[in-house]
Amino acid sequence: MQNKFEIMPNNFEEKDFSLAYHAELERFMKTNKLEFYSSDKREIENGDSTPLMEKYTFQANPENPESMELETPEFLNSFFESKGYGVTKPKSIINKGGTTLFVSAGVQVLDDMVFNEKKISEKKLFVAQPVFRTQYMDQVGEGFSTTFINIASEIANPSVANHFDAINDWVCLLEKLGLKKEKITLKTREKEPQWGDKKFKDFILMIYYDGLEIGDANYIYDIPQKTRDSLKISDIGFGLERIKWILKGGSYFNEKEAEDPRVFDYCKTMALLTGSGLRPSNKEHGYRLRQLSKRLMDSDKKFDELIPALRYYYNYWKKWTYLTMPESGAIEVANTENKRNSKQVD
Amino acid sequence: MDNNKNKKIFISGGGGEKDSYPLDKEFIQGIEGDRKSILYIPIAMNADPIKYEACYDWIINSLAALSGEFLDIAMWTNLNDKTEEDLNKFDAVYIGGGNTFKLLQHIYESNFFSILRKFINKGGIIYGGSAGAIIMGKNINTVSEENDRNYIYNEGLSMVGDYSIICHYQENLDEKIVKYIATYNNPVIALSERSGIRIVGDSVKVVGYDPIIVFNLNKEKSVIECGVEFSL
Repeated sequence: MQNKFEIMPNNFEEKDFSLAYHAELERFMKTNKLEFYSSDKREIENGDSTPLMEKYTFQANPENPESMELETPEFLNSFFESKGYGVTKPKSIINKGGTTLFVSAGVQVLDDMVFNEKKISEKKLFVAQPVFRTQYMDQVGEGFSTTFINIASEIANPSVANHFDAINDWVCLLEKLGLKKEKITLKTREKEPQWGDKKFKDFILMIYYDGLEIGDANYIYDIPQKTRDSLKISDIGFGLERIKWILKGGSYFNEKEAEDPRVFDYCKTMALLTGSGLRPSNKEHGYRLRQLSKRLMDSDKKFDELIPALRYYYNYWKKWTYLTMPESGAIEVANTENKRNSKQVD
Repeated sequence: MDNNKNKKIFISGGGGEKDSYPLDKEFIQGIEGDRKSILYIPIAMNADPIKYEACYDWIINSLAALSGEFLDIAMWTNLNDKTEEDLNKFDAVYIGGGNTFKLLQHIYESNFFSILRKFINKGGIIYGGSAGAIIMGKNINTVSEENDRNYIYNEGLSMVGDYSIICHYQENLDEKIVKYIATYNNPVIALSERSGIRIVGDSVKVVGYDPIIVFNLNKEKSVIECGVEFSL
């Protein structure tokens, strides 16, 4: 079905985008009976994550079993396929090209299109992308981990209405998983971010559940291109682990992880990095592996005690992404680095 | 005005890592802790999570290349609720560029201002690049055009005596600097992208490829060449 914003002429001006966007937003909120989020918490204006509250109401019910539907990507893949999306394989966590050393958001599956001006994808895409946010290294705790799965839909050159249709698909998914629509609130932001040398405009819709930030929907436009008209992208992403947290209740971490979240988080990330073929070094990608290991070995854990956790997480990641290094090799690389950085005497 | 004899501050004119190589090298060599831990604060930047990741990659690649040893570099993108104890875990702090007024506002409103001062007074090393450099001066209105959101703070950390700082200096900024001095009555140190200064106590050394320009209260310019030292 073609809607009123399906075709945008090249001279579609910024004020037109703004009008179209806000009209669609109003219609979307009215149809879904959604409200804006309000908070008394201090926030900096960087578009940094909204600070977490002390306690969320969903945490009061810690007895829920973990959602089996979200233990592997199959359920999510079939849901989005049923909505007409093509499921794309996640990128290796080790980013080659692009603007960051590691993949830190699902939208980076479009890097070739944005930065190398490769073919524009005609299909709506869904990806369950493991990501590494090195900026969270010192913030590991309830709701924060250095690696997580960013489930994301990506549409190239969408109309504003296409973008809101995609947001509706996500609302439908959240309801199907058991989340209640009336607990979803929204916050809008307008930004002019820059990735590498690409400066563009972004209408951001932050999405909260019960006050917890769970995702965002970005309508990005005016992405400059050298050989063709500027691009638009609908980029909608959610943190899978935060959704699982809501469904599970209680702690963000499982029982074992809760004993020492930082240690287990660093093991989880090391398993993904070594499983992806990374080796430690003092610079570039390998720097991060060494940094994680050094911090891990600052704990009172002995390096060989961590092997079971490394194995566990290697097999966890294997369900979500292609790991180039066999399990034995990946564990060996991580364990050797941990031993190197250990204060433990053999 | 700050008279602390322990302070060690590196102020860069705001160029890329090739431009600031001599200053960056001295900064890294000046870090004496066993761990060589550096805190990077990029909050002057208007950034989203991907941009912050790119910033973090950039600082690691820039600084790690200058050291034979492993440097433990952490990044804070939010200063709210940070304590003296949190900051004292680091040997040095690197404050990056972006909007100077936004940076200063967050530093004041998060109460990080007093924590940072205590860190400097204890001998903690500070590196400021561009916006991070300008806030080390007496007043940040040397870049008043950056105040695009009615930010209310303009008094810097006054770590360079009575001087205010301006970065990315070119001669076409002279008129603006003279107007600044007439309005605020502070002398100004102007740094091109290829110049910088190292301050130890009240001694200043010019470090870089270009000289620095000092504008006195009579609005007269003097050129101070690389390697020259003077007192605040």
